[in-house]
Amino acid sequence: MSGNTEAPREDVGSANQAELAARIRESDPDAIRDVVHAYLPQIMRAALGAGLDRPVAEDVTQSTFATFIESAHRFEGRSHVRTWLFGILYKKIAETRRRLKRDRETDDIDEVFEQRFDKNGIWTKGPRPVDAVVFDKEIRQSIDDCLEEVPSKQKMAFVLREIEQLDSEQICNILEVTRTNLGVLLHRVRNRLRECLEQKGIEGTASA
Amino acid sequence: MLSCRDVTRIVSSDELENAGALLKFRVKLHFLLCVRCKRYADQIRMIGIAARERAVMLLPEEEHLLRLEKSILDDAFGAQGKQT
Repeated sequence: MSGNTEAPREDVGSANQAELAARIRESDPDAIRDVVHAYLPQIMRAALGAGLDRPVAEDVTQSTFATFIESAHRFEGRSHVRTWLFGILYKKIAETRRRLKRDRETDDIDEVFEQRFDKNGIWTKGPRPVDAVVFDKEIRQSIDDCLEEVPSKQKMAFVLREIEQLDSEQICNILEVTRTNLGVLLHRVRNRLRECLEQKGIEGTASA
Repeated sequence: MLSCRDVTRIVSSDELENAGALLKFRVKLHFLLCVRCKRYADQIRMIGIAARERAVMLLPEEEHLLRLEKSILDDAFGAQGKQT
């Protein structure tokens, strides 16, 4: 019996994906339990990383696993169980944001980005030097305000890349986008965050 | 010659990940010549690091996670779900 709650986290499915997939499909309680135990911290961290408040992040995490368990019989094992879970999480976050009416209709970041450069593609106003320590501390305080403005798909691309540090192929599978689309999503979210942080006076150095 | 706009786009869309040696070299060369693009790349990297640190900091303690885990499993399997 492998329903061992003492098992180290993130240890599930690395060895035998096919067997795990079969057990998940049969809704084997031990397999389900192992998956929940292994991936709960990651899913929760990603939900928090997407800028959700802790109670909302907990609800979203809980409902992600509820959906996972309900739909376990449909898990084909073609992708990693982690990919499947993050795919559910992404849909839950998008749903939550639509409900809270936080998703903006338009996104003007491309325009903002272009304004940074002259017609030869040279910076009109360049970024300031980075004082790593100050920058780091100030961003941590402001980043959730800045994330608020970002559309769900961009935000999720950022979370999966920077917080969960997944590779491009996995992120493309989760978000159902091409590598080129992912590049555009990352480009927009990073520039959106950088512009937002700069507006808040966080430009890298302590004094503005 | 790559423009600053080209370089920032390459950096922000993680294009270097699968880039050939020549493009990597041209971007590196651009960084040597252009402090603004170098700063831009530093900022993008730092934003990622700070976001990760923030998410890790906000993560509830183990005990709380275990409670959440239990409540998910109880909802799924009911009280008799603890048949191990």
